[in-house]
Amino acid sequence: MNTTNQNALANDSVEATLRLIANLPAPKGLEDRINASLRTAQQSVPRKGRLLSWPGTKFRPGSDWMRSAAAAAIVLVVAGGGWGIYSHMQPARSVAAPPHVAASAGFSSAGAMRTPNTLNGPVVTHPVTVKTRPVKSPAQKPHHRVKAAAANKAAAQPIAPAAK
Amino acid sequence: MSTGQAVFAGWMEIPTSAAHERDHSQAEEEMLAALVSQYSGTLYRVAFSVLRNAADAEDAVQEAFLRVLHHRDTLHELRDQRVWLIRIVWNIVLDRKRRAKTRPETDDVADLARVLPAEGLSAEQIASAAEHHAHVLACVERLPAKERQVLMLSAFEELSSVEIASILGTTESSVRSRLFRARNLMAELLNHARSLR
Repeated sequence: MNTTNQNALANDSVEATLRLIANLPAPKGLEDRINASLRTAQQSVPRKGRLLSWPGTKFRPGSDWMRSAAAAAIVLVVAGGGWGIYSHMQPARSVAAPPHVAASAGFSSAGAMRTPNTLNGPVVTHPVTVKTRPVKSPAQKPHHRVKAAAANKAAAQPIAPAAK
Repeated sequence: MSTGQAVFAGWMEIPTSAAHERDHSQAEEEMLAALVSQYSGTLYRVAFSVLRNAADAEDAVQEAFLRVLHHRDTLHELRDQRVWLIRIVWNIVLDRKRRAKTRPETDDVADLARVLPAEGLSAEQIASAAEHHAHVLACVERLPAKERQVLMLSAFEELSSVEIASILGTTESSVRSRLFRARNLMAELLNHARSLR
């Protein structure tokens, strides 16, 4: 409690001092001195870029007929540009759809408007002759084997002893 | 003027005539003079609260208005001229304070004794009050920069917390939290100084 009171007193003291300074009156003649310095500086400070005024009064941009002429020129430029673009445009070509031909051989086009052209297949000009190797008759093979087996058997048999 | 001409006059206006230029510069001068008469006092007080020297504060205000002169073409676009002007002078005085050499504390006391109101007070009382204020301000100087700035600006009754936030380039909630911290720190500093005596 004591600390709280001390803090409050300290804050009151701080605020009183700061408010006293914040409410100090400005010195007399401050405005006049500032205005004088501004007048002096105003002559030396260059203005930012401005357009030069037109020489004659007849062609002054602010005059009514000049405004109308400028507006008409803008309209002409816009209309001319539009016409230029329009006149250079080509009309879109209509794509002729091929007549729907019913597919032969039993296939249908499933209602498609266009069907791609199929490539022509190869054309046979000469009859194809296929050379075939003479086929060995399956009966000859076992014959050779039988012969060889008999020869082997004869070689394997021991020689019979001479008759006593 | 026909309707068409009236429409063209709006968007094709090119004010280049000498008479128009004269009118324009005269209007700007009047606007500047109005700003000076309306806000020079406030700007001076803001400058003095930081610099605590009458001559330096006046110089800062003059510099602020010279900066305004450079931006006179955009004056009419400003939404809140008062806050804008205070922000200019605030930046100037902070910059000057940063560059200035540290002055002895006795100078501050002497300046305050000269400036503070002294009606119905004896010379001793004036000196004592000046010493007290100088001590408080010395404690303020020991605060962190952000807290100190908020505390000093909060003393200006004409500035709301939103405007202080705008001057310092921060948010209103940040201003409030900084002010809370500043008050606590100030209380600690003053109580500590009192206990040492």
